Amino acid sequence: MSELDIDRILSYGEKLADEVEVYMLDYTDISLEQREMAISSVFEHAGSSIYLRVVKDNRIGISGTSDAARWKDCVDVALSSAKLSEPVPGWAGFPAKAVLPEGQDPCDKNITVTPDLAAKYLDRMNAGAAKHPEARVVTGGVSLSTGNAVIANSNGVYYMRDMSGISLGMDAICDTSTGYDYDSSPFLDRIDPEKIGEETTFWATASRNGVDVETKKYDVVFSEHVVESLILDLFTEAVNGKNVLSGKSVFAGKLGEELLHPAISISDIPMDKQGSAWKRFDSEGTVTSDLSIVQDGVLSAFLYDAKIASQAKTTSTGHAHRSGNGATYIHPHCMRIAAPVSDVMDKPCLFVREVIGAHTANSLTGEFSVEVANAFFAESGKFVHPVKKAMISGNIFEILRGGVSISAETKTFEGAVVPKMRIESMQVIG
Amino acid sequence: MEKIRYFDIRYVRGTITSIQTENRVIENAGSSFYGKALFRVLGENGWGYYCASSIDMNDKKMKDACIQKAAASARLAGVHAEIADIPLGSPRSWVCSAKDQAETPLEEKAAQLLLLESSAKIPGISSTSARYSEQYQDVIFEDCNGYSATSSVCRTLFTISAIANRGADMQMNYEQEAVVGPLSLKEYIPYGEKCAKRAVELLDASVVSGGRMPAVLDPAIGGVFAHEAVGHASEGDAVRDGVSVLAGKLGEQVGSSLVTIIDDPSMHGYGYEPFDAEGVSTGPTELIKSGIMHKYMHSRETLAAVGLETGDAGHARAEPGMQPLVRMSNTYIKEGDSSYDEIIAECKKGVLLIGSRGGQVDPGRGAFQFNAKYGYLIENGETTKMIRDVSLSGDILSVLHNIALCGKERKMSSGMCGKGQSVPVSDGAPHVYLTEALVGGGGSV
Repeated sequence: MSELDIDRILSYGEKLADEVEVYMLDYTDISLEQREMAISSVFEHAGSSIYLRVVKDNRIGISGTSDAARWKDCVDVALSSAKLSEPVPGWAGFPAKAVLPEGQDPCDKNITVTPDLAAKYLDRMNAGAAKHPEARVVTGGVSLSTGNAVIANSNGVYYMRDMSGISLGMDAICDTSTGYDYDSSPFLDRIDPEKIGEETTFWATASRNGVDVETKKYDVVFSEHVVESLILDLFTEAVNGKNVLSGKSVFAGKLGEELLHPAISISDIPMDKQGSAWKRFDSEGTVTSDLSIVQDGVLSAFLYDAKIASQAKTTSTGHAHRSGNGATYIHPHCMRIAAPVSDVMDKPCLFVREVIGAHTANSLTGEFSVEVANAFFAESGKFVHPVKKAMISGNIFEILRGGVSISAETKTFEGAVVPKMRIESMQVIG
Repeated sequence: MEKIRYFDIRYVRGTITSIQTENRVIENAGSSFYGKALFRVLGENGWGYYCASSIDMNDKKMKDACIQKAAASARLAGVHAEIADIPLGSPRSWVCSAKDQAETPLEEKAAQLLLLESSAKIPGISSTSARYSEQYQDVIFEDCNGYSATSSVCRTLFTISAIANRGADMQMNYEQEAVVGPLSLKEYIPYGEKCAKRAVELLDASVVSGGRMPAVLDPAIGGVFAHEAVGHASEGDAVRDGVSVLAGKLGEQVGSSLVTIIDDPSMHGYGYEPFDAEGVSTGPTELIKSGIMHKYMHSRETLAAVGLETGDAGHARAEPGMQPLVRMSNTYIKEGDSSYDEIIAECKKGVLLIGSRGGQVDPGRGAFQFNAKYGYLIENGETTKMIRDVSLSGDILSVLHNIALCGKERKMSSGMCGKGQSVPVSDGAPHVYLTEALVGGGGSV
């Protein structure tokens, strides 16, 4: 869709509504999948998505489509939807045009959506996997994508972001022990395919012949994967301004209170150099900036988009993302945890590389009880025995209140740069 | 010209209308339109796919161009694949277009959703929210042999959630109903109060101390066990690739003789499909029959790879524009002959687990985990204290052998299943008694 088309949508919508917003994605991607160490399928895709919002009498209407020819239907449906919605108290309008901060888009011009490039990375991943030949690689895959997003509104905002991406994943089995690794980035030079392959077959091989675990409390070290999927996901829910406003957060009404251990700080850094989704503006055109969420254990901010900020009588923190129906949702761009840094594997511990069922944790209370995978008893930084099976349980908010130490090394995920984390005395059920 | 051994086209188009309410105010409401066509070509040495938007299925030139794009991709593949030459059958279409549902004004549905949500506003409840969605989806399938099939399916659902608050304590509960076809919100208005009462009760529930113990699963969590632990391990691709603990076990006793587990895409549950993503008309497949591994679920490709006698095709499913994957639809444990009271009495000292917050499985290792919404301690053969934040994990084969009783009444629950793609499913079971289970919980009760 061209600039002209976007102008046509804005022009059509402005005749019928007080404000109009167009968010448009254009993308092409290619995915290679392998079985039996060879390419089994190739998938190509090109398309676009349009998400529309209109405002009439402070009522917001939404719509969206993957069929660009239906944009007029979308505007009409969004107008009907606005009539049904309640007026947003204190609605301050869609963002106005502003000077964007310096910075680059998460786009690598070296990423081309070609099978040759994808095949090269698949080969390199396989070469890494061969370092542990006892394991059998089951599947592997590489995806490449390029595209751009445009946010435009009737207040003069018209920003474009170029994007690219590479993602790689592999899984392997050794006897009945499995291993898996995955990584993605907008930049080719941040991807180490040999390491992904090697880690995959390492975890499958090393996790064989696990020992039983006695039910009691252990010092536990979470891998970056577990910190991201278990700790940060639940923390994110608690500082989401929408959950706070609607009474679905244990942190509601507690700004300024010491809720975590005083040695812990958590912030969101949209243009973090190590991050993977640099954003100078969010999905509704609000300029982004660094945000301290917890400072020395004290809760200092919640995350907002324009609508929830209006309702909460505050201003957007620039954390709008776009959901499939055209509405926005709130999410961080690149979270960072600061806590005492140490060699977290130095003292004896139960190291947990993955958990099964992280999404079943209680997002409101922080309670969880999940099955560990690729877990090991470790001493002096070395894995001594793999664990046959065990469950761990606890409460993520209590863990963060009790104090933790983190590793210096980190791993980058879509919405965070994450260290390993050592937790003293956690319930383990064998 | 690329060599094409087979091709098919699956075009999916539809409309999703949703309403969300929060604390008895309409948060947003609207519709979105989608349409995607997947062109799938089996070349000399594997598959090529091309996904296009906004296709005109009457435009032969456009379709040919897309097929050639998929064929060019297939040329890059290097793993020889075959598809089983089986009769695709005649899809048994079920009228579920829900005309009345579509014609009911959105304002009326929104008013009913607000009533449903309002019924949850009882003393002790600090926050409520509700969601309603109706999806109309048309599928047009055709292949290179002149076979074609079409379907129109409507799916409707609502979710109500309530948060109870007492000082610093907060607890949450939610209820959901999701069906194929129409759903009258008016009939479900009492669900709000039911949901809210449970959330308030959870404030007084205890956190169980985990360990190995006997357990009774209610139909919801028993259904998740059928889906997660047995269903995923019975998928033909996992069996073909040797990453399932149930691979190579056809004809073997893999569980108690009381256990029969079935997947049936033709059943009118939330996972209903008259024909699958390869155009194959659907029907029931008995995965485990009286404790014996009986059949696997297959696509045409995995059926050819693993063996025609090893199961049924008709289990390939896909999101619009995505490649077919072998997976479940409506999965359930067949009823037994025990009453609920007999099962609780037999358990003597353990836990009753109720409702599901979801689960996950590693079929290669045979390990699974899922969480209950809440439960009760069972002491001296009777339910006593309410418990919360309790989960169940184990290895698939041990748990199947540990099933000692199955109840007389089965109930299905609906949801979505993720396996790279997200598709609607349902699962269910009667009450099931496990002689030993690994129960997770961080409390002291």
